[in-house]
Amino acid sequence: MSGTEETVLLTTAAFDARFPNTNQTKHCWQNYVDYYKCISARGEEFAPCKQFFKAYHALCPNEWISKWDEQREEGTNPSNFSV
Amino acid sequence: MTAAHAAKKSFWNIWYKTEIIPIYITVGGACGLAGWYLTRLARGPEVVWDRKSNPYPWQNIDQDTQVKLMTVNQKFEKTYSRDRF
Repeated sequence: MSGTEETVLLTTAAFDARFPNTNQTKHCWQNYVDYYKCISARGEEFAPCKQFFKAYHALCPNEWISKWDEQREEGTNPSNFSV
Repeated sequence: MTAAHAAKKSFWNIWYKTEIIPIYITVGGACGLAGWYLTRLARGPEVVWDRKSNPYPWQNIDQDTQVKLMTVNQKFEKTYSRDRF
């Protein structure tokens, strides 16, 4: 045990009534899209956008995140990221 | 029976037989249940009926809404019902 008093708070994406079932695919996608919509509407420094960021990093497989990021860079991501 | 008399058998004479009423009840009940469940599935939040004006029906769900048929150890204030296509 170290001498410091720091506690680490571990959280994951909260329950979302829109996606109550075991299949969380759409929850993952919705958070990804909402994060980039939030960023484009409010800027990257807007703190509440972080909630979407943490949620999609918890829910989505990393391969999906990197694939979607590549698509976004190329402009081929079919999702609409504008508000 | 004369031919004319036999030809006068009505719809009810043919189809209303006391002994097959249980079959009517059972099959009618089954069709009713199937129809109810199909309607429930069609009204679910994941089904998109109108792509132009309601492309994301799940976005209209409040956070205190129950979407599932049955929940265990969870309390929600209201159940989901779909009021638009």
